Parts: sequence; C-alpha cells; structure tokens
Amino acid sequence: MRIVAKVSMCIFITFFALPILCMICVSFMSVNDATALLGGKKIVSVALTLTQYKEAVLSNSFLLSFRNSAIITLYSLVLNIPVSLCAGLMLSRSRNRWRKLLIVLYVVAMLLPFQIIMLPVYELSLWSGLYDSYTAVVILNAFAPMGAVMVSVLIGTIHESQWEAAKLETNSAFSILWHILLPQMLPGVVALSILVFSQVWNMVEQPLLLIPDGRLKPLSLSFNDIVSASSNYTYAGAVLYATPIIVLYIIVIMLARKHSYVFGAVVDLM
Amino acid sequence: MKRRYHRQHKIHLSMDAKLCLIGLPVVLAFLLLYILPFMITCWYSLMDNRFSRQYVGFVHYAEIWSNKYFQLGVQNTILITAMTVGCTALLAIVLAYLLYHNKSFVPVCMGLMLLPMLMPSVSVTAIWRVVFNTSSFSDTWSAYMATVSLFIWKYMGIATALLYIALLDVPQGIIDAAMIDGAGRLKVFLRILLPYILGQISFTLLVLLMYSFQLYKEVYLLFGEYPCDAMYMIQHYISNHFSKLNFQNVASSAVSLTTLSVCFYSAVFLWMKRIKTQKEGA
Repeated sequence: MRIVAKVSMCIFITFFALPILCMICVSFMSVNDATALLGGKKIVSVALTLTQYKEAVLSNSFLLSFRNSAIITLYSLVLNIPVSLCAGLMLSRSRNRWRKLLIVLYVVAMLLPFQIIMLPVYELSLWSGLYDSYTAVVILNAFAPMGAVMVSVLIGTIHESQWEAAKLETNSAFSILWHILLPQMLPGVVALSILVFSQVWNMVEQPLLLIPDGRLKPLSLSFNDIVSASSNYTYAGAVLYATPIIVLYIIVIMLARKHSYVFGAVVDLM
Repeated sequence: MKRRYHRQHKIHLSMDAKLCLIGLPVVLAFLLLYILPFMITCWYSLMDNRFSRQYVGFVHYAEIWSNKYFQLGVQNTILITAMTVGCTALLAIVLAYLLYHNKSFVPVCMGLMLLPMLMPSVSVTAIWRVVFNTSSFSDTWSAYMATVSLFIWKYMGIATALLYIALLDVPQGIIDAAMIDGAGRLKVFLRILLPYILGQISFTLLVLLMYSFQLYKEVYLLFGEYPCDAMYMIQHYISNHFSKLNFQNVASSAVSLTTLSVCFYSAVFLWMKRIKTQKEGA
C-alpha cells in the first residue's frame, strides 16, 4: 500500500515537472529535432546546440515584443499594488453602507470572463484616445479587481482589535497601513505581486482588443505570429519568455523556506 | 504661536471618512472600467443598433440562441467547463489525500505544483501544440485531451494545495477514535475526512470555475481563431462577431455568457451555503 502511494506520488511529480523540463531540454536542440522529438517520432541522434538562443536574441521582433511585455507588466504592477492596498483597506475596514455592495461588485468582476466588458472597453478606449497604446492596457490592469479582493482578505485575517487600538494612537490611515498592517501582510503582498505579474505577463485578450499595432504588442500575443513567421527559435523563445516568472517564483519559494509562514499566505492567495 | 493655533483648528475627519476618501478614486476608476462597461453591454444587447438606439427587447437574444454556431458554443462551453473542473477536482482530492499520508513529499510537490499556473500560456502551448498536434482540424478526442490535460496541469496544483490545507485542519482525535473502533483507511477517508473538507471542496470548485472561464486564452493559443467544432466556445463566437463589427450580437452573447457562468457559480455557491448551515446545525 505504501509503495503504491509512493509510486503514484512520483507519477504526479513527474507530471508537474515534465512539461517544463521538456521545454528546457528541447530549447537546446535544433528546432527540427525538437519538433520531431515532441511529436513522438524516432530520432537517431540529438545534438545539443545554442543556435535557438542565438536566433532568439538576435531577432528584432522577439526583442521588441519582449520589451513591450516588460514595460506593460512593470507599469501595471507598480500601479496595481498601491491601488489594491487603498481599495482593499477601504473594503475591509470602512463602515460605509455601500461597502457590502462594493465587495460583491469586486468579486463578481473578478469572476466573470473579460469578453463581457470587451465591447464598451473598446469604445471607451477609442473615446478617450488611448486606443492602440500601452496606457490603455496598463490602466485596465492597474484597477483590476483581483488585487483589491485579495488585500481585503489579507487585512481580514488581521484581528480587528489591532485596528481599533491603532486608531487611538493616530488619526492617519496611511500610517496604520504602513506601520501595522503592511508588515504583517508582507508575505501576502509578495505573493499577490507575483500573481499580478504573471497575469499581466500572460494576458492575451486585453492587448488583442486594445493594441492592434504590431510594434506595440506584448510577447504574450505576438509570440505565435513571430514564431510561425520564422520558426527557428520557438522553444528557446518559450524558455526566455518564461524565465522572469520562473526566477521570481524561485525567489518566493526560497523566501518561503526561510520564513515558513510565507507559504501559507502564498497558498491562501492563489 | 500662530502655527499651533492653526493646527488646532484643522478640520478633523473621522477615520471612516478618511478611508472613504482614500478608497473613493480607486473605486470610482474600478466602477468606470469594469462595472459600467458591463451595464453598457446589457443595455446594448437590448437596442436595435448602435446608431438608432431603439429599444427592441430580446430580438437579438432570440437571434443568437437560434444560431447554430452559438448553440454549439454554449454546448461546448458547458461541456468543457464541467470536464475540466470535474477532472481537476477529483485528481486534486486524490493527490491531497496522498500528500496527507506522505508528508515527506510536501515541500517538493508544493514547490512544483504552483509553478504551472504562473507559467505564461504562450510558452506552455508551444509544447502542447506539438505534442498533441493541435490545429483547426484536430479530431474531437485529441482536442479534448489537449485542453483537459493542459487545464489539469495548470490548476491542479492550487486545488490540491487548498484541499491539503483543509485536510490538515481535521482534528487527529476523531481519526484516532475511529481507527480504534476498527475503521479502515478508506472508511476514515469517506466518512470523516471527506465530509470534513466538503466546505473547502466547494470553495476549490469556485476557484477552478473562475480559471475555467479563463480557459479561452489557452484554447485560442492552441487552436487559433477558428478552432475545430469540439473547441468552439461562446468566447470564439463573441470575438468572431466582434471582428465582423456585429456589436449587437457581441453584446447579447456576452450577456448570455454571463448568465451561463452565473448559473455555474450560483450552483456551487448554494451548495457551499448549504454545507455551512449543515455544519452549524450539527
């Protein structure tokens, strides 16, 4: 019985690790070998080369899209976290009678797919003149409801008596947030940041709608076009594109091992 | 002296008012960008067209619901959602139970499990496309295999983590007592652990549903704008009509999609409520 359990654990672990390992291994072969190998055809010998990486780094369209992705993601992240903190603070600690309604609206907006607001958002961007620019996508992501909901959940886990006690000492909501709430929910905010980062880094629908210009498209959208135009660095491109996420994730995991409580927060949030 | 005088007469806002002031601009921007567009979509779906703006009632709904492709989309969306969420939840329960009994695997497994959901879809679909040979002409079976396995790979980790944490909360005393009374492992699992984590299971289902309504992104990357029949979802219908500038169809099908997802969500939500009241009653 124990052996069966262990074997099935190993199967699950392989299942999770295999696609990522495959991607990394295959990126060191030539694209033809890699495609044949993944497609399940037999190959006699495989030569390891760095040609894919060379091609990717030398390709202008790849680098341009990568830069677009980086710009959009960094701006969105930098705006989204403070915005989420403000909104989350209000949603969790205000005694306004609209609070309940607002929470419901935030949760509903988080749950529903993007296609539902697609048409008016398109018209709004045309009307405001932000169509076909980074700004449109960045603004849309900056005010995304997920962060606010999660921050309000995080603040909810901190006992309210602390809030009441702090209110006797100071009258500034910001200093309570900065000195009392933020240190306690820092792991959660780190987890939230990596989640927001990966979501923006990975978004397809918003730029598809708002950025028709090929030179401004982020890599999440243009990768398939670039690759189908010249497919000699597909897998290295995929690895390079996933690198920031993997690096950030490893950093968070290291932090989590050092301070074991980070992990709970990470799981709670995702 | 004068300065102090001024400070004393500064307007003192209550903390609540301050919170509202801090939150107000952010919340207004959110309402403008997410809630207002939703209302406009509903309003559009009831209008004749964008220029004449005449109320026509449910004409567009009748039109799209009798459309063959829209019906296909609804059918596929329901089927894909049920399949992906169901398979992932079942496997997650199994894996969480395995982890519960083999705690030495937890660090490795947790570390690996949560990475997939953060990975960029483009990188992942680059592999999936070749392995499952997906295109607009894939046959039904391999298309389902590709989509469901991708969803399981991506989101099983988070589901397992949520369930595992719930399992840790089960008091050991109950389990020991049952074991002493002669209950086997299977009985403990079915009669104690499973009922105990039922609330968390329903929450996990809610999270999985949320992700499964975002699955369109991966399907789009795997099969392109015009997928094979088995993968044609409502979102495809919406974006195809959007590029044809049929805005009324877009609006009414978007509202239909909302209704559909709200049905799914409220089913799970009601179940969650029932479990909660039962637990409180017991």
